[in-house]
Amino acid sequence: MKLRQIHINQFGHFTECELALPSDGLQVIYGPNEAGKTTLLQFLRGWLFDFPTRTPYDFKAGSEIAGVGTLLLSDGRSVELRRRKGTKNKISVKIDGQESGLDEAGFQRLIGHANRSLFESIFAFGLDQLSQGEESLKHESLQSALFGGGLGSAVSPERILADLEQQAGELFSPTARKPSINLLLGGLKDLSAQIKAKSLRSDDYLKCRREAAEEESRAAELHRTVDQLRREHGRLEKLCRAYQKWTELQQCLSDRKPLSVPRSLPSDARARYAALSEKIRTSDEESSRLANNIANLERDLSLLKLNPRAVSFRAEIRACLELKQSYLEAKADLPKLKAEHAAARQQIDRELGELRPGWTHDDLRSFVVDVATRAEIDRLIDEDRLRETTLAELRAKREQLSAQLRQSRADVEALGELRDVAPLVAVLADESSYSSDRKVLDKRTIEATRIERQLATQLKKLTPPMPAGFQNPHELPVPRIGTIKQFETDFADLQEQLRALRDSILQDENELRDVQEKLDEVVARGVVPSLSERDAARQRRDTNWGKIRRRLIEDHETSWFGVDSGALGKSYEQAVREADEIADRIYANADAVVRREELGRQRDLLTARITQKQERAALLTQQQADLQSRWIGVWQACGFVPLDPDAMRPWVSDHETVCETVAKREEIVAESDLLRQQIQTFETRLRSACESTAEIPVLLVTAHEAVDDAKEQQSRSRELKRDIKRLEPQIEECDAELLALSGRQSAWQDAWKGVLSQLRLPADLDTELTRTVIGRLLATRIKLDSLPQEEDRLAAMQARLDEFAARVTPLCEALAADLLRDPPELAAEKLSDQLEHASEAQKQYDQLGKQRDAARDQRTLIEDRRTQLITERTDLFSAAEASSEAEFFEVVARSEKIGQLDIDLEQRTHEIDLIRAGEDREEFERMLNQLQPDILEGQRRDLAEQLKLVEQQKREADGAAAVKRSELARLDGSGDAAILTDELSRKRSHLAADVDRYVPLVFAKHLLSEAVRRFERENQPEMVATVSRLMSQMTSGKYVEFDRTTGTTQGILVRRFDGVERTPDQLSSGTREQLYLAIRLAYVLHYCRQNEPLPIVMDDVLVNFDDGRVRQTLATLAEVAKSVQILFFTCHPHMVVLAKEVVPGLQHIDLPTAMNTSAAAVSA
Amino acid sequence: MKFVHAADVHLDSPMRGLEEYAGAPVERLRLATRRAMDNIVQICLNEQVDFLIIAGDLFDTACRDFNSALSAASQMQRLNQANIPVYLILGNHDSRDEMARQVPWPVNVVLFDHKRPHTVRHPTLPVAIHGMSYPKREVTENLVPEYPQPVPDCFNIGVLHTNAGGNPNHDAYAPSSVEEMAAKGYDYWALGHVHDFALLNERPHIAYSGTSQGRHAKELGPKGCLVVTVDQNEVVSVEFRETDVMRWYRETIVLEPDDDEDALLDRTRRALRQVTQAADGRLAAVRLVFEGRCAVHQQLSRDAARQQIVANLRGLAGDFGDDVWIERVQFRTQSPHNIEAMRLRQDLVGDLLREISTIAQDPERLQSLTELLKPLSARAGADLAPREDNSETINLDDPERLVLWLREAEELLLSHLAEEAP
Repeated sequence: MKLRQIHINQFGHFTECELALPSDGLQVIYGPNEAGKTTLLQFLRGWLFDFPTRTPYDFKAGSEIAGVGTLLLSDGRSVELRRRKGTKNKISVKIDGQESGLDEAGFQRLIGHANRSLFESIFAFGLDQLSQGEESLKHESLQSALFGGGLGSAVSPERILADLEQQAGELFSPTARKPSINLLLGGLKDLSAQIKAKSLRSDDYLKCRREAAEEESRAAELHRTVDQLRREHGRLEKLCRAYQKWTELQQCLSDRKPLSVPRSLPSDARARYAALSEKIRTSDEESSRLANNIANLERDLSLLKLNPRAVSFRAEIRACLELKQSYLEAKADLPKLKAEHAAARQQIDRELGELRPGWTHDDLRSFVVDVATRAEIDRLIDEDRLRETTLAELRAKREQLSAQLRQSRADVEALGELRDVAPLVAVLADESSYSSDRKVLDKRTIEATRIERQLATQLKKLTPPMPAGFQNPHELPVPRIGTIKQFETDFADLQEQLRALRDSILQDENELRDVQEKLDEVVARGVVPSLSERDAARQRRDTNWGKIRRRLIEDHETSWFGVDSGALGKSYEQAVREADEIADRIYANADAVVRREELGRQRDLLTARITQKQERAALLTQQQADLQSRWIGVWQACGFVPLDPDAMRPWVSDHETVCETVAKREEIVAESDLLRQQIQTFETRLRSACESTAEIPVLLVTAHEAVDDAKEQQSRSRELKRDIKRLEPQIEECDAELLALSGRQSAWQDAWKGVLSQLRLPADLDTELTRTVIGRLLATRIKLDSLPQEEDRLAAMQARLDEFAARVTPLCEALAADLLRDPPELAAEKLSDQLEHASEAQKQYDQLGKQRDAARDQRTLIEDRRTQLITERTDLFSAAEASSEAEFFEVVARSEKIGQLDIDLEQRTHEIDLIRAGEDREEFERMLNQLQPDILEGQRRDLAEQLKLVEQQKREADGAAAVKRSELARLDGSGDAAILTDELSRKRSHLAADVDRYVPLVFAKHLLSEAVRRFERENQPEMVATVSRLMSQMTSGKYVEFDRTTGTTQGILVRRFDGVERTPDQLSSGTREQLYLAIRLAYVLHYCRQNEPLPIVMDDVLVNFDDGRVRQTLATLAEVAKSVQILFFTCHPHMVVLAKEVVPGLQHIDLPTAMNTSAAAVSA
Repeated sequence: MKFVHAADVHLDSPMRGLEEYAGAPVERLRLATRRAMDNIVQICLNEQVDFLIIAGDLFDTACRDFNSALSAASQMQRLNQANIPVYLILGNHDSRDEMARQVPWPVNVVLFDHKRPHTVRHPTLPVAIHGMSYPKREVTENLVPEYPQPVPDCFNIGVLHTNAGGNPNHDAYAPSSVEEMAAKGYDYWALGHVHDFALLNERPHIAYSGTSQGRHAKELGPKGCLVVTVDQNEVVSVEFRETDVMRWYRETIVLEPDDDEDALLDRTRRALRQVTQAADGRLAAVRLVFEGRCAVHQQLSRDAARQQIVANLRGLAGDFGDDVWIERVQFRTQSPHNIEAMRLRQDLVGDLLREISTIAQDPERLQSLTELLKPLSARAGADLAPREDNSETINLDDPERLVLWLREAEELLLSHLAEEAP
């Protein structure tokens, strides 16, 4: 895809800007800083892949972001894309000038499902991306660099993998202890142990309970024994303690017996006598105090002054005072009221003169407007007003209706005759299925192109390729996948066996070498003879002995001539010595000999094993060759030599994909043919109906317009006629109403005159003035009616003044004649004061008299009480049968002694009862009478000893029971284990959560590394070749090859023309940037071979290069631009000059300046 | 007459699924099931009921600690002091356990035999209670036909631990039907086994009281027992009373496309406020589930950032005193990227996404991923495997779980590989 033209309606500061990109090759776009390069780039992105909802470039009120541009697709179709920012109907796509009806998804399909992030990460280059990419190359492996080249500069697969690894490692490690999951596992184990320790088994509990019950039962038995002994011991203790009290009780009884007093003597006689004497003394003192009080009151009474005459006139004086206030008010108001009355009368006369000259007060009094008359006046006035308003409205309405009627008649004439469009309507009824067919056909065409491209890619991918002559891939006799799998397994097995065998041989050979070296070393080190030497010496010795034996012992006569027997003996001795010497040396160096022999044996064994394995390897190689022949044979019918089975398995899968694609293509072709036929039928019908041979879209528009116009015309005409029919009767109605209203006016005039004459008012008065005159006349009449009431009030006031004086005068004459000279109100005041004084004196006199009488009564009572007390004292003496005070006190003393003895007796009895407590009384007293103190003490001591012993046993049993009880009590249903179980559950939850975090990390790492490996397997050779070629171009052949480093590492290696190899960190940063650029461009070319190419957009990426490097890089870009459009933005004029040097005939484009509406200039 | 119907107390069974974190109100969680039992007893005492029925599973399968039994006995002793009889049957969770038979129950407790259904009469009231304990865990036969005929002139109560009507969320033990129970002629069926309160029928009343304390995130909302009032041998009312001391909630928060971390926290705060009001002073264990396509998703795809957000969410619980425990946080948000559109791309990212999709749909390849988990399985397998108490388990071979993990891995990779240009 190549951009041909862009028109920005509105974006940022660009308004209606045009940018033409006519050239195919490298396109250099120049614009100084701030000219809007970034804005243009953002526009391109938004225009191709949708404008974001929120963007800083949407700041112009009243206009929306929008633009239109033309693209040239790789299949030669021209696409016009119009896009606006919004939510609905955002894009419109025309293909080769025809509306395509494609939506967003359809357009995305058209450009191979590319989207914004793909464009940004693969096709957009900036200086920052280049620097980041260059920097990352220092540490990347080859596979990661190539994969990363397809993702964008910010992404490094190795870094991501390391990051994922680290995160996973923080959660779990099979060996470490610190990671979160490992720690949790340890914690779980500890907790389980703690729970076990805190839990209680039911058997343990039951055993404890049984033991506790047994101990309790033993303690209870002892308890009963102790109780019995204690009871016995207690009884003896009581007898001991009670014995003393018993003796004292007997003594008291003997003292009391001879004493007696008179029965009538009260027990408290002494106290009674003292109390009576005290009361008599108090009575005497009270009597004398009351006598003094009475004398004082008599004196106060004699000093008081009384005025009984004034008091007898109390009612009259009070009545005068009550009238005084109204008298004073009347005296003040009377003159003022008289003046007001005269003024009111004058006012009435004046108003009457104004309203109805000549009318008297009586005329006014007779002026009455009754309710019926008033209602009639109001009705006539309202009727008059309503009639006037209705008349005005009717006239206005009639005028308006006439105007409307005139307009409607004129419009009907203007419409003219109606057109018949029925044939067009019939054709247009099928338009929707026609459009749908077109859309489907477009889709199918695009799909067919895509499938063709896909098929080409899939066929290209088939290595070895399909043999010539097989047009239909289905016909190729491809072996079954099971067969291939079997071969693959057989090959792999043989390979594995061979590899294992060779490894084993290699290992044996190494071992053999080691053994041989050790053996050589042992042999070289010492002079120790070998066992074979020993055996040889022994054999020599035995041979010599054999000779001697045969010569001297067995056959001493024959055939040994020439042999000296002495020499034989010497030779034998020599042999014996040598053999012995060797044996001695072997004996002395036994260890060394053993080691040497052992090594020798190992060497022989290894040699034999290696030979055997080599034979086996030869056999396997032969089998491999046979299998290879069979493998080629299986594929013979396909007409090519197959690759290895593991390569051919994906081949078969790819072949199946090709078959499927071919089938799909056939389906689409059939469907497309049918659609074309339907489309053609419709178009023929349309042309015939329109009677025109113009283009179908034009005809459709014309037909729609014609049908719409006809419908509109019909509808308008109907509407106007309806209006005319409606307006004509309305105007007639208006005229009739106007006539009726003017007839009603004369009747109203007659009624109005009648009312005025009834009220004696002039006949020419209008409605408003009449209402005013009536109102004012009625108000004046009300004032006139109120005059007689005022006069009555004045007379009443005068009468009040006279009455007050008449009341005061006789009182003064009776009580104080000197007051007659004063004004009546003052005289009344003074009389009142006299009455107050007299009343007060009378009140005090009555009160003092009452106090004196009460004191006299109280004194009499006290005297009577004293007499009674003296009588009681005399009675007390008689009860004691005493004639004198001394005798009385003697009898009293005897009585008190008897009382004391009785108390003692009672106390002793009570004490003994307390000691006896629960014992039976009679039995206890019998034992007290009989007991002998010494014997009792002995019995008590014995019992105490026995009790002490049993008590000790009981304490011990109680202790044991308590221990068991407390053991049982400790088993109280503790919740410790339950709490720990809760904690265990929480830890397990935590573990589950950590596992949920851990697993996705492991999966993500696996998926990414698999993806990288897959990309490496499928594309690395192609990518490496492309990068090498581009790198060589960019460096003028200085660096000719790009590959991986040898050995175990997977790093990148760049080879110079002279064979010197460099890793990325050994290159200059400029060369490294070129290298990164080469990798990115290689991926772009790889992508574009399989998909619709997008334009590469570069933003001043070469500014850090020197001129030579810029030239070479630009030349490379120009080369790449033959297959992928490159838009090279720069703000440096020298970059433009250099580009023109490198690319002959290049025309740069000046960026449209802000707010400029002219087209971008293309400069030479 | 008044009685309390309770069931499925599962004494001392742990709360499952709660993840502890710094500041979590651990203390308030302690012995929750015991405190719920205490609440049942308190209701009996306050209401002065005539007896208590426990319809099975007083104890939990996993509980082997006799302390639990002693704790239960002490609660029954409280009822004994108030002269309140207790009628108890054993369910599938305490059937095999000999513990229940060895408990030193006070004299007021009647433990029904497990040989056959039989009848027990209330000591003073005209009430006949029919019941049977489970002889083993898996009782698969219908017990209702074996239950005795109703006693004339008595209020007849059937006590049964059963899956009535085949509730799919519970094991089908002692399966029975409501119609058959209704036809038995009893006046009330006190059922146990299903952990939610349910009144299955009226006249005769057939009811599940539900568990007395929710123990995991599937047992949501209020839990308690039933107070049943009877007059003239007719059920007058069946009232549900809350006994739980801690309550489980699940709050699903749907995020909007523009929602960032602050918005996420704000929405959570609002949700937690509502929860604390509803919990009425109880500890609320809240599972937060976030859904929707949102801006914050990119952050959530990074483990460190996600953990930080989880910590911040748990910090929010502190705003509500000790009343909230963020039991678990589940993110089911989606990337603002259109993954389906990206999957169509013909580049490396598109290839990778398509590959993931293929694995997710291929059971064999999906299962092969478990090879990667072998080291984990070897170390932690025993701790992840299913247990008798059904507590938190993870099956590393479960295909559904594998697909979920695979989708998470996909999001993780996407956040690394395809960051949206600004």
